Amino acid sequence: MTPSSSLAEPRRFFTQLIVGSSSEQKNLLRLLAILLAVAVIGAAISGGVLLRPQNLSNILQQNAVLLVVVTAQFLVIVTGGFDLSVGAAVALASVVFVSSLDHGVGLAILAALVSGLLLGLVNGVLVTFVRLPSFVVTLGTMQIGYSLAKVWTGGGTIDAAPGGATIPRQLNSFYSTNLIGLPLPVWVALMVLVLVAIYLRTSTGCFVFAVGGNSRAARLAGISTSRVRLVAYATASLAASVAGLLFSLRVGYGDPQAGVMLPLDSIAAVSIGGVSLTGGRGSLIAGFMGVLIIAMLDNLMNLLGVNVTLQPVVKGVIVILTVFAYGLRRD
Amino acid sequence: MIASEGEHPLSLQGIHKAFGAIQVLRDVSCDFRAGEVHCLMGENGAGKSTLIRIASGAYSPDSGNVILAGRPLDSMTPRWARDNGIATIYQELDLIPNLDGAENMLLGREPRGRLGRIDRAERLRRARAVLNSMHVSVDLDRPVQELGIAQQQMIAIAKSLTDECRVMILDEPTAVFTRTETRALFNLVKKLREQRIAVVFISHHMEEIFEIGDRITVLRDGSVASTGTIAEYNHDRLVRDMVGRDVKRPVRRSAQTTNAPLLEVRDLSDGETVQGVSFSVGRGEIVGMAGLIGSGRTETARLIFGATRPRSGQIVLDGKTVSPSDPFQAVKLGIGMVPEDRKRDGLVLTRSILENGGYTLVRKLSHAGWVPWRRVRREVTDRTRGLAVRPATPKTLVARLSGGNQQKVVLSRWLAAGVSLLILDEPTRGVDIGARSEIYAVIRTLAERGIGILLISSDLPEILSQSDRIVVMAKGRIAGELAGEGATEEAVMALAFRTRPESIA
Repeated sequence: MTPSSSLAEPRRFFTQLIVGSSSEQKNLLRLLAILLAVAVIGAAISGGVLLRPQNLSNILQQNAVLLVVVTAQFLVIVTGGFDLSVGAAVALASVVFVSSLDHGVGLAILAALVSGLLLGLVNGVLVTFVRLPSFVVTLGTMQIGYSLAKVWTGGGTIDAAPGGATIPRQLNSFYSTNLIGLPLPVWVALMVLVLVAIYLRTSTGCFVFAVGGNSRAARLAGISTSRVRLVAYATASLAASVAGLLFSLRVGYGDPQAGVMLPLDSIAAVSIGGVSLTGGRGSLIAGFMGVLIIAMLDNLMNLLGVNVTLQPVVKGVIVILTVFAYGLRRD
Repeated sequence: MIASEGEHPLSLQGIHKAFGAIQVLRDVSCDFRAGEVHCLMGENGAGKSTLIRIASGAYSPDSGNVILAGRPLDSMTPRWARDNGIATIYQELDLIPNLDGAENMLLGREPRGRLGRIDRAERLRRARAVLNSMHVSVDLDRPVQELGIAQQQMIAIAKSLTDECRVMILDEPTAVFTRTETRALFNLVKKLREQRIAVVFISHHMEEIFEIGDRITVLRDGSVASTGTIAEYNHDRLVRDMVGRDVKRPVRRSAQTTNAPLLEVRDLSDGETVQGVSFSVGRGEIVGMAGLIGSGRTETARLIFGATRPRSGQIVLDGKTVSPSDPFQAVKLGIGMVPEDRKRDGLVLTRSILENGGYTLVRKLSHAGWVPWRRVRREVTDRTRGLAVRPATPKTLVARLSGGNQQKVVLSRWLAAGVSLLILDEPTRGVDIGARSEIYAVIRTLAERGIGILLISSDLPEILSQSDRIVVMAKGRIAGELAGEGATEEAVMALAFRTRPESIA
């Protein structure tokens, strides 16, 4: 090995940790350009408000839940599937967490995570071993998940466990506490992002891309495609249940109807990030940037006082336009 | 245009065609006469496909003439050929799967009613009329994807007949047919002959040729080896003409003396294509597996590799009976496979050389999921460099590589895996000559290291030059085994065309 390449090795290792292949790097540069364009134009028409540190911090804080869910969605999309049950995982985790607070915060968190893991395992088993299309499976578990969450609370929201325990004071302020300039929930979201990014560099993570790209070839390369899929779905729902915790900490109660729009919002963010919806390629950081672009536009429209009912129109147009632009590049 | 006396619907004169440095067709001339079934014969790679692609306008010849009803043409397009009465039914039918038979047959030429609306009743009537004239009945109410392959073929033929075709080229139409389906097709071909259509028929089944053919042209190494009426041929002459007496063979590998047994397959069956296959592969031995397409070679390989489950039979590896339930298990047992269709089964086209070449390494070197990527990268780079993969940059997407380089990436995957048995299914198909010799060198190195190799190939010179021993499959069984001086192209072909397995020599 030449000295120059060994010098380049560690750097390359870290860029590869999040970035991946060269075509993905080009995609990231493009996303960065879009992001900068939105930021600069946004700053100009909002009189600089958009880029104020406090505003940027707010944007991230408001989108911490979405960010975690996008990370989960990315994992499933890369295998060539969709996870429509991410919102249900959020709702389940949210009500399980709040209603288990009686038994202590640690146990409540654990119970919430287990609820997500179970949902993910059901998804994974049905997709992998029963060989049903993920779209249909997760559509079903989404409805089942929401229904279970409602049964759990008896229908409405839940702001205290049956024994009377409520979200403790220190957790109440969790959402507004800053650590090194960023709110805690943002740190949690980034942590999930980094964990999943590292996961994608493990052997199973590498195989996730193989299964999504060509599951026949992956199988004939000796990859246990069923294990890879199962783990991907389970991990995705587990991550979504972390988003459920964040949700409850933000609003201060458990909501069995939380995150109804999350499945679609997360798929939209992933597509804006240029991640192929047919699986097998894309980088997590692109999904992250997809969230940032949507979040900035949302924020900008709020700053400019765009009618709230009209905002989704703008978002919809942007999703279609970006996917159209990516489609133009396809051969 | 009506052909006058002495003019044939389609003639090819002095056709030459080369792809790069490889001369595929050399001075080929051929007349396809009205009301005759003309069989094109030849080994895989003899130039049959190129010839029919030229006849149907898909390729243009480097020199020579395509003469349509007495009119020489210097350039043709597939569209033009179709419009002028040359119909080609390739093995891959160009039907639209979700449309029904009538919709497919009159696609783009739908009868119109008032306001330009498609007249469905009229379309159905016309489609029925054509099928009736062919004396076949096909279910026209269902999307063609729900029909059997034979019915689909009938629709494809009927579609051409709606074009007033005068030449019908059938490229291995019976390859996937059952006996009754073949019968139905033959009846149809006889009808076409009665309608004075010139039929060009390609098949590897000799008995079919003798049943349906009027005239035969045998191609060998891109030239016409012989041509004549069916009466001038018999089974032996046909094999001799296809293979040729004086084929220059590459140097044969010096046969290994004794090989400790590694793999023994006993009476393996899948209940369909593979019917009681038994053979063995020794350590460091290269066993060639020859046979026609559809003889069950690939299916046998997939059974050994655990890609499909056998109905009955035994696989003994290293003295132990094994039954890999999937390729994951097979790899654990030390079996590797380079599949036949590398784009569909061999590669993940959305990923890089590093990943595609490294899946087995990733699996082998990772501890608790943690992958030493630097080491994987180094080893994959070393191996792909050793195989002269160009470009050798590990991050390049495999989709961007040429066929030969893609194949080398798949091969490199198994170099590191520590397999004791490697199955290679058509490893040099679509691979240029340079890359071929590199692949052969790797196969030999692996054998010298004691790895048993099962080399499946339709390329006879390849099988003969690379194998220590050859097993020949025919119709799902082992038709015979050849080694040493007895292993000639004629002997392999004779076994491959054998239909009765009980007459094993």
